[in-house]
Amino acid sequence: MNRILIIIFILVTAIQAQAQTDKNIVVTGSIQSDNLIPQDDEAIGTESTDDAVLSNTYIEVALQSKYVDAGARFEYLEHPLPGYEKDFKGWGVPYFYAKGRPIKNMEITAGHFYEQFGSGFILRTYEERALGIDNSLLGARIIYKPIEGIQIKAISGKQRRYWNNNHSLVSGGDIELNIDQWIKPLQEGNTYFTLGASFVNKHEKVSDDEIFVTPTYKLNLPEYVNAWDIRANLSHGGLNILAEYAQKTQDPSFDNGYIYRKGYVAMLSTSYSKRGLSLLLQAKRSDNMAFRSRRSMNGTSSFINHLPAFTMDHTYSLAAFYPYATHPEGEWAYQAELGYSFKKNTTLGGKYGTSVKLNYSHVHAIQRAPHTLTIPSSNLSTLQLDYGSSFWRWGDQTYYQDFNIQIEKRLSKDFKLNLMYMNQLYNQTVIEGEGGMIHADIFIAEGKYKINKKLTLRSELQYLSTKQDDGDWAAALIELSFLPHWMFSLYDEWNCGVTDLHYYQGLVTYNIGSHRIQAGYGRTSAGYNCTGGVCRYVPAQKGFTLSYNYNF
Amino acid sequence: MKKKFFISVTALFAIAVQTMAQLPSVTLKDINGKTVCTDTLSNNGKPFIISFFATWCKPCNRELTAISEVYNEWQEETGVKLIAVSIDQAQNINKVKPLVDQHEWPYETVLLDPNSELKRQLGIQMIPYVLIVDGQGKIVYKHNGYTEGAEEELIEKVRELL
Repeated sequence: MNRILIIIFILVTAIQAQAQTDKNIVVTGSIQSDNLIPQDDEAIGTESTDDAVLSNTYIEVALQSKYVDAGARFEYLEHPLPGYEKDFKGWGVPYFYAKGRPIKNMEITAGHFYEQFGSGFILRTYEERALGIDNSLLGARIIYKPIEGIQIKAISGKQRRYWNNNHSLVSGGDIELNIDQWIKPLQEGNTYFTLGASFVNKHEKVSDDEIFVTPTYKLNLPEYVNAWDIRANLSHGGLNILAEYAQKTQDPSFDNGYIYRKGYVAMLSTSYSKRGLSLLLQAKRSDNMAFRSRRSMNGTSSFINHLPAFTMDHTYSLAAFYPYATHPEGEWAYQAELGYSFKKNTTLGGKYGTSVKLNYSHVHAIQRAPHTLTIPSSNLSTLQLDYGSSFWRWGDQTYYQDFNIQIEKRLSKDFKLNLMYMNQLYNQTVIEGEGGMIHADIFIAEGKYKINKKLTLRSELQYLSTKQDDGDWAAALIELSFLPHWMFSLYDEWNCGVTDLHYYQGLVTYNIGSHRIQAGYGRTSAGYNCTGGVCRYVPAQKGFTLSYNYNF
Repeated sequence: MKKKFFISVTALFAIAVQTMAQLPSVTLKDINGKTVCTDTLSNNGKPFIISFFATWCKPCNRELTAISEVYNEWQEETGVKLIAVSIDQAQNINKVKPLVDQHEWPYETVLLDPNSELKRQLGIQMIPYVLIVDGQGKIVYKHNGYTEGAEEELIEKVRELL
């Protein structure tokens, strides 16, 4: 810890010294502090705590100059907000780096870094505070562009897991070729074509884990796991096609029940659009592709790769009430989206035009035929070591399905209406462990009314209807914006099906430049908080909240 | 413990001096697949706006739609340009162009920042987030969040630069 602080001091002094001679030094940074004064509430089942104030606070500073950049982040999570993993608690400077550009087109980073190869099937490190994720690598990275159109990356490092680093070493490389930069006719014809390939190796000592399947049979775990990925992206006019495939070697882990099977993921995504019309079709099959820097880990930490849900990210609270996250063992996921805008002054378009969007997502189990091994003279007669799965075949379960239609319509100069209907299937047993299949119908109406130049009123009415789980929910939101700085909102979510409980929240937000202060009071239900298709369970909570954001 | 805490906080505040920055250099792709280096973004000596958004971010979409309705007038009056930057994840980048086209947003440049590199370099935590870059390439204004109607304040700031 002290060593880290010393390094930062040296870097800061060095850069400040440079700053005095060189005016082209740039300082950026941010402060984010989310605080809760918790109150106990037996009715909703809050977790009790001895702390008077819970806080997640981050301060980040980055310095940039012509040849060298440096940065660090201070985190204070000693009394964190509810719902994070146990090891999340702590404070210190878990992120720092120095970046240099010794020659043209080359950048070298030492310290912590975030990186992504392709779509992240085999490597993605990122920070997502709402989920408590920061899986940065501590080590070194080189990015080099030897000639126009080629980019090469090489990385090696140990992954951060909260306040420690995992023991394994993660190394890899990526090459991306922008073919269009070499072939003039392609560029002139507005055609862009990219090819990419990458490789990742994880070295994790076998002695870190000993897995006995019977008192005498110990698994022979692989010390090295290798993964590779290839991809192609073609764009021409309104058409865009992305194909990507990745594979990894046998990686017996807690996630897959210590089986000896390779991992696979394949994706094809196509979209076509022009003014007023859009179409998206995509499919992804993943199979045994959970890839972590620690084989015995479960929960949300230590992922090297990233497989977000291939479903629509909903933002209306009841539409997001039963959210989906990719099933780590594998799934087939499909998504289709069609958008159309009816022009102004037509029958369906009316005076201001009408926009309609349809989205359909379906996630299904893949076929799985277990391959077992019989162990002689043991209580455990058979042991699953692998399974067979033919590429196109489905298993017998639907994990998730969502069909929704959204209509956006301006009715007058001052009034705009959005309507949404959604039909959802949510396999609670597969996603949360129990509960069976939930079938929900969700209805949402949102209106925005501009009272005058300074005042705008926005309101949402939502209803979720289901015979399963906690039954029906109704929600209402009213939000008043008062330019240029203020926003007031009131929200109530009422379980009218089973518990008759209200979850309410009042918020006042003050915005000025890049400062944002939000104060509120309320109680929120237990549920999954999802950002970008990754979810975190958040327990019920009640109390006063205060958030501050600033960026410089 | 207390001392260490104090030292690290002071260390970070000591260097948090206010300077208005230029755009960092990050290589991104636009929604047509074209490679764009962010430090070369310009508007022929006139100011431009950068707006961070995502397909799933409702206030961002409201802001970009609100600006699109007055964009023609803004351009005629001030010559300003808007560059939108999507922070959608890589596996969703094919959703961005359809969204832009379906809303008929008139913005010439829409960039993809799938692992939030540009966002991180600018120290941005939340979206929607807008910046104004002046004719000399300096970031002169930043705004966190979107309040209905706030686009008026934005064009007011642009007018001040002319």
